[in-house]
This record gives sequence, structure tokens and C-alpha cells, in this order.
Amino acid sequence: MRYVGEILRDIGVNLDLASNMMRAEQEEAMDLALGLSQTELGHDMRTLELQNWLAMVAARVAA
Amino acid sequence: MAHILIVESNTPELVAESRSQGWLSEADNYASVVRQINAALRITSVAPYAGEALPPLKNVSGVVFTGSGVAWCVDDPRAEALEETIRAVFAACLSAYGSCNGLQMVAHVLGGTCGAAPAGREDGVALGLTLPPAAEAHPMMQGRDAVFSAVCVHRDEVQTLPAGAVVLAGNGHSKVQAMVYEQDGVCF
Repeated sequence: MRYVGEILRDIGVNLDLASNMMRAEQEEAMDLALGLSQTELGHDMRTLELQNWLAMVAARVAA
Repeated sequence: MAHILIVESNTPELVAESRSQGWLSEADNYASVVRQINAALRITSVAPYAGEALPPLKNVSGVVFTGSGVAWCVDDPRAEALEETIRAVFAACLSAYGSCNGLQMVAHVLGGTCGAAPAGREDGVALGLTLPPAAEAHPMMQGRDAVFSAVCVHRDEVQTLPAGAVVLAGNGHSKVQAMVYEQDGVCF
């Protein structure tokens, strides 16, 4: 399982960009993010919290 | 076996547009991700904006509300079909999970308010997300660093929390990037 920081670093996104980065930089980051496979992007976006939630649901069902 | 119901938060038109570009719908994408995490789960989906009725909830273990590209904010009358679905899920005391529009819709249904973020859209990467002290030990955030970044696309944000909700993550752009609400039979 890979996390967003790793993936974006691999494709050259500078995570040190300020949150008020210029619009052009936002678009560049977006283009790079959208260039990822959707599965990888979706997987990374939601995996950790979703994984934790699914574990909680499974535990509830098992109880 | 746990059964996860995924609620598509996009209209049929937006789903068709997404598919025409070779993308999965939000519900299908979530199903793919959930399947990768646990292939043993039973996964079904429902599309309220397409007029689909909720299946019987008796055997559903948990419900996911997806993000959405709809043009309207969550308090718009056009969101009624999705709002009714969320109310039905909470009335059944089912555990639920939502991202983006899913989070905002739930906040609205529970009494919070949402609107366009004063800082504008947050497209690409949400930087500098931090965990408030109350979030550090919460099971939902286990494994997250104290400061992290995440891929993120949103125009609107949660602006007033529902009473009793707890923020799990926020940043300089939006104070509420993740929240839980665990009271009154609701587990979100």
C-alpha cells in the first residue's frame, strides 16, 4: 500500500508548496494527481481512514 | 460476512460524463478500493439521484457516502434525494463513512452548515493537515502522522460543526477536513 506523499514525490510534486500556492501551481498539482491511475489515486486518498473504518465495521459484525 | 452499501452521490448525468471519459463512477471507484482492502466483503451500491430506492438495510453492516461533482451545496433542495437516504441510514443506526460531499451532506443532516470555502477551491493536494489532540487516539486516524498531506478536490466545506461532532483533521484552508459524530445512535 502506498501513501499520497510517496506517490506525489515519485511524480515530482513538491509537497513543500505553500497551501496558498498560485493557481497555476494548483493546476499543475491537480494534473499530476489526475495522471495517476484512478485506482491508485482513490486507494491512496481513502485507504487509511477507510481501512480503519472497515476494520471497525468488521469488528462490530463479529461481536 | 460484512455487507458494505455504497451510496453514489453523483447524478446520473455526472456518472455518465465520468464514464464517457473512461473513469469509474465514484461508487464503482469506492467499490474497487474497498475490494482491495478486503476482498471478502459483500459490496452493493445505490444511486439516490437516479431514483433508486434503498435496499433493505437489515443485513447492511456499513454505508459509504461518496464525493460528488454536483453544482449545488448540500442544503439545496436538489440534494433532497441524497439527504433522505442519509436520514434513513442513520435511522437504521448503521455505521457510515463519507468523503467530500459525503462528509458535507452528513454534517448538514446532523445540524451543521456548509458553504463555499472562503479560501476558494482546494484542488490537487491538501497540505498541512493536522490532527487535533482529540483525534490522535481515535481509531479512525490510527497510522496517520501528526501532519500529513492528502489528495483533495473541493469547493465547499463544513463551516459549522453539528453539536457533538469532533474534528479529526483540518488545515489552513478548511478547519474541518474530517470529523466524527458518535452519539444519538449515529456512528459516522
